Amino acid sequence: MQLPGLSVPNKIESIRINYNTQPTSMALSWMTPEQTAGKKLPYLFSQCESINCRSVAPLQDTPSIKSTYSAHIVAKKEFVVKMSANETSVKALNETHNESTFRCDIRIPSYLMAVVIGDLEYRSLGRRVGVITEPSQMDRVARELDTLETLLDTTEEFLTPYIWGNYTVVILPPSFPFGGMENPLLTFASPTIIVGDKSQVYVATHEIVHSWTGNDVTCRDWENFWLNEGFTVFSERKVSGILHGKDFAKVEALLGNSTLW
Amino acid sequence: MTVAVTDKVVLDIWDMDISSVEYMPANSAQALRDGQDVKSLTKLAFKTLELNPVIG
Repeated sequence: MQLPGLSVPNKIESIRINYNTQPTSMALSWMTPEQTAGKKLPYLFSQCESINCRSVAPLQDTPSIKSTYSAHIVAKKEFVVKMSANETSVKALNETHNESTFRCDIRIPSYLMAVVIGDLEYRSLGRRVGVITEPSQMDRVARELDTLETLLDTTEEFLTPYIWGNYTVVILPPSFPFGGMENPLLTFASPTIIVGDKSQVYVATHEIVHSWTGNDVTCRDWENFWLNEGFTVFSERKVSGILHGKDFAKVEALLGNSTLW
Repeated sequence: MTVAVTDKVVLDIWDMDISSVEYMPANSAQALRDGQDVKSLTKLAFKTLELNPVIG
């Protein structure tokens, strides 16, 4: 687009873009009730990493550019709406719909913008942490992730203070294509990490560590994506070692190394 | 990082229909975010280019 004149250095130009996305948007997965655990309501979740955010909002879709964001989302009252941002209000728009407002004041790369909407329930698991999932799955999920606060505290002690405020894990329907996605404040995780014996909770540790390496300090471009993941895996294993002993961390490292070849 | 002085803004889009682009008063994004009624200064010309048929 063409500005009326040359932009002056250090002047913050403002433009407003009016647009519609399409049902084929690459970042958005629209699920029918039958594809959810509760089978009551449809479900929507996003996956913007690595270059799918451009199908949700027109922007410079590269990890080298960071911005704050805010959003107003209108949905029927029976739906719960969450984003990778602080929820600032939920108010009734009319008899049938609510408007939820979100605001992320820490600058993030576009690939960390995220939304989930469905028949969802939140349960607190500590002073800063909690889980979100479908009501029928909540007891199982909360039991599996009851060490979340300890994971966050230990990571914070190993690294630096956690800057994002609260931390929540969303356990998504089975079609979620990754083990976990480190959306700030709101990690998305696959239900496959809920196995009953807490043996997959390391995924939560990994996503928590991304709050520092990836979400706060970010690779400049996707050619250097290994910086996000490499430093995260390094710290994840250090945290595992603190919590479970060096032998545990060594086994994790051996298993991890074996997948490289 | 050096930012070049330019009169063009290039954004990435997929699966999207842009109906209009408005030039707003400088620094008005926060007022818009907070729901204030900010009038646009003018409509801006824009065009959509397919830079790569594979990745868009």
